[in-house]
Amino acid sequence: MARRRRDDGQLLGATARVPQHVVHRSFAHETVVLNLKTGRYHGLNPTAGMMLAELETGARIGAIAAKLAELFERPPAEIEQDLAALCLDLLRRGLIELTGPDGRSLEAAESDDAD
Amino acid sequence: MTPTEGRSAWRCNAFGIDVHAGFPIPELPAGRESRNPRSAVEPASAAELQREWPARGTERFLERVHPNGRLMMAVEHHDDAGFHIWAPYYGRHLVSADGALIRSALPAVAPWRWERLLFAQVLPLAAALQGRQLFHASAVSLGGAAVAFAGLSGAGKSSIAAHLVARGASLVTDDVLSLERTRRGVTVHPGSRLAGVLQHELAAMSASGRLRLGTRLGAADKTYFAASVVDGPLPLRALYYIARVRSDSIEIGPSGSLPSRLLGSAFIAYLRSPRHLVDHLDVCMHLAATVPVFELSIPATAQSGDVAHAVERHASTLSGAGR
Repeated sequence: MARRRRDDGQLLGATARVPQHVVHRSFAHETVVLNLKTGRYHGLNPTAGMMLAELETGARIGAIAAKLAELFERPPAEIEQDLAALCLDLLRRGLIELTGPDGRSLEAAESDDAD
Repeated sequence: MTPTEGRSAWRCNAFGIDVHAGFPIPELPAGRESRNPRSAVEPASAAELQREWPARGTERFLERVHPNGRLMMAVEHHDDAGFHIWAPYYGRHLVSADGALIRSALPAVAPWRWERLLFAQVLPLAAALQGRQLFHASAVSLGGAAVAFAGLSGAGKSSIAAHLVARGASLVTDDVLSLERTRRGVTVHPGSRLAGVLQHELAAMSASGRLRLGTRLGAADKTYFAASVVDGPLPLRALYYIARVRSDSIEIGPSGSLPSRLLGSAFIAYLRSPRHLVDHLDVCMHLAATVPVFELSIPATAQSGDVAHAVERHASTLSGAGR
């Protein structure tokens, strides 16, 4: 649990970037993310799709969570947790890259999708 | 005439490419010059093709075997040489990496037999390499626009299309649908005239319906006909995704799981280059945004003729082509 809190703290100060080998397209009720390195498609529900669009702006993840909490009228802690979980999942699948507040890249704990 | 006797150019359009063949391909509709990409098909001997295919650096992309383990068909790839497709008794082909040149060694059998491999694998691959997007779907023309049927293998795509042809529709394609994005929607290109119909589906058709399927060519796993196909591209009015269900009645409603269904309908799934993957994603997104997609729920007890009738009625309620 302590480990998870530390990861979330790091994450909230981090920024995300969609790497060149990843493209995404929005359908009516789903965003499809394509990892060109693996040839795999990944589906995101509309909320996760909106989160990915916000992550692409390059804002800090904590700031994005605050913005979305206001938009969805939900407690900030809840959105922070959801956004952090999404970021870790996307990172693990090689669909985003994360840069911490110190300028270092955050690595996925494990990857089941990246080459 | 055996396939390699005729040397004059045989011009046809199929799957969105212009085919210039050095031998007759009877079940391809004669074509006009168009702005489509062009593929030349040249005759060759099997020994020549085997000699030319590199011994090293190849990768087997696809292999199908009979239940007894005997090879049914294989597709190999080499970065420079392109693709090598062969199936015992159906022929051997080399397709250049850009899809512009096909060299074919054909067995001395009735053309419809070797055409099955040519139309099911070789020309679709050339079309895909030339930038056409191919879906695993059958389609017919109803009221001047196309309606297409996608679904898992064995779902009934070809059978429903055949029954619609028997009821008076024109065939667009059997099993391989070539799509092109347009500003307002999606255009589909005709395939070949070769249509395979299961024996029990034929038995369920009226005599006049069977006549509408065209000239009977022969029988193997299915009975094959030279059907009359539309003479050019058509707007896609609707796509029906076939789902086999346990309900009692045939139902047509909005399709769920749309992106995954469309993405999973790629015909040549072994083409995984970034360009092909992104193009396929883009055409799926465009299709989802511009063409109505319906789920066609078919109970196990339903007859394909009844399904065709239901589709005919449903399609007649759709106005215009695309949205």
